[in-house]
Amino acid sequence: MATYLARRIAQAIATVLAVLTISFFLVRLSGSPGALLLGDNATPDDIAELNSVLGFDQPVAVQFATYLREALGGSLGDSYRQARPAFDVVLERLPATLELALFSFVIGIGLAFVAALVIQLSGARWAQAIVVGLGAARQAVPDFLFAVVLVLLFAVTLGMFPSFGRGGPESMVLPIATLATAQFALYFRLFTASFAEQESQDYVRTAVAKGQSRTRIVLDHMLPNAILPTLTVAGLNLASLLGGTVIIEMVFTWPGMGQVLMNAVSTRDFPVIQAGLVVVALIFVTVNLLVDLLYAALDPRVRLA
Amino acid sequence: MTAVANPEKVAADAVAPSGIARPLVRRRVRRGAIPFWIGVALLAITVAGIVLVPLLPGYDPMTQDLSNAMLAPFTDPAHLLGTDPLGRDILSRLALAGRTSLIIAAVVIALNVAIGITIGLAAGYFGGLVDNVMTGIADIQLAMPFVLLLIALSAVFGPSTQLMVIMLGITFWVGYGRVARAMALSLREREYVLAPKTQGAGAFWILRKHLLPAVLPQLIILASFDVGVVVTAQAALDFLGLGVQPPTPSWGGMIAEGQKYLQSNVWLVVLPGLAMLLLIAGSQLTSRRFTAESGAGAPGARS
Repeated sequence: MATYLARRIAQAIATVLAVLTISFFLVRLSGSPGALLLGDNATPDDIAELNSVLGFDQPVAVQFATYLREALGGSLGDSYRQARPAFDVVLERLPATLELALFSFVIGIGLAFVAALVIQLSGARWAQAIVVGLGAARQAVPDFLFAVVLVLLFAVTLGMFPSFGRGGPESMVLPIATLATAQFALYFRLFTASFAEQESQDYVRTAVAKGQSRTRIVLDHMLPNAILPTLTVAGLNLASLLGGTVIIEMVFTWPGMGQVLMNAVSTRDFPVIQAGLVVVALIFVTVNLLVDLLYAALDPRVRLA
Repeated sequence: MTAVANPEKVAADAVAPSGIARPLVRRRVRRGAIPFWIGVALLAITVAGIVLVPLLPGYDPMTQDLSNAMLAPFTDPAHLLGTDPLGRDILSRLALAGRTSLIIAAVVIALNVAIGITIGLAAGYFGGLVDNVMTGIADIQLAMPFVLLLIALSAVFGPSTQLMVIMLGITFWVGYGRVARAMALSLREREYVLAPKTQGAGAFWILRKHLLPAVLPQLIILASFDVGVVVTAQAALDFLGLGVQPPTPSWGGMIAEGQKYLQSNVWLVVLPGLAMLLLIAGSQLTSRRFTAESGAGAPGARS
């Protein structure tokens, strides 16, 4: 267990360091950020001065060392446009993004779990086929298109929900409906697959042979084994959920991280973009570390391996 | 962190389980014949539109005509599907956007297959350090959503089609890499691979002559599923303005533009949406048959 723990933590740290390194060099790919920031009308002197203020005139190795030292101290420098720490600019918008992502995740995976479990208990093959079909249909529609269609139906035509902005619970309905349905489709397939895999195991055959009830077999024997793999997948899908949320934010002009980052693209606010990448990576790494530890705590095979 | 490495694969396997306690899903031998042909029909319509529309006499995706802006579909014979807010012909723009999408999808998938097969074969055949490096790269990629990476690159270079193609081209390889690695792991112990080794064949020669021909067909099957995935991802980036740049039309870009006119003209969103769905649903229904038959799942992460 201790070895496993140490290895996983080392892995997590390595991933964060790699993301820090990548985001450092991404910004340096352009050569002269000063020229990018000042635009076409800047004189060479202006550019040189700005590059020196921002530290871009130093050797890359020195810049990288400074960057890493500051990053480990919890700073990625100031936003070029807002003259305050880039982390603050990103973090103050993080709750709005997490709100969408978390609600969608919980609703989606919760409903998927209940649906898969009920179907497994009842053995209703037709119901499973219908839900799988609906899920496949949902997954064929890109999230942003689904969102626009929801806006068209429920905001423009029916006027039931606002189509943009963040204010009150009703403004969350459409964005969450978009993301939660996609999450539901994904996790319903995973739970169903998990159950199907358990169903063909010897221990289920034994339970059936000794005459246990279906309810008992599903709840006591199959359920714990079926949940665990889905947990891991949920952790690994976190980053893509956050990425998807960023896209959906743009449909609903939701004041989350997506908006900050897209603004940062047009104003070339590199520290803010670096902060965005690092924050997402930190969340991803932390959650997956927790998932793995939980997994190890619940599954003796991992613990003893 | 890779206890269940490929969620899509697990899900795909659900299609053909052999349960014991009153199986929920029957083993479906002839499963998917009808959906497959529906998929083929959808793809045929899409491709026919993309190929044939440019041959029509009125084909003109670029010319603006403000006096004929925002025409509804089927009102003007010169503009069968109407015009956009700048008076450009929507049918022509849909066709050109579709061609762009397909070309981009082909390039993106080719890049990913090439990267995946190179890294995967090397990791599986050599093992050890190469293998660890591959797993490491895959882990890092999982932690950085491609949307954010493309946002970062767009901030530096300005958004462009090339940038998006490169970004997507290095995003979906992990699925191919895993399959190539797994196959190489099992194939390297086979006699026909060991035999040339005893006669002094180099690793590169063995990889190219004996492993590649076995692995490539499998990966091409997987790639067929990814057409829909890549078109979806690309459309989302176009929608954000990070991909294909105006005035070149893209379905995602047309939807973003149309979203401003939802009150007055829904066709601006509905038509490119339908075009996109034809292609995505068509490719998914078609490829599902191959992925189910080969027992392989769909690779790659969704946006």
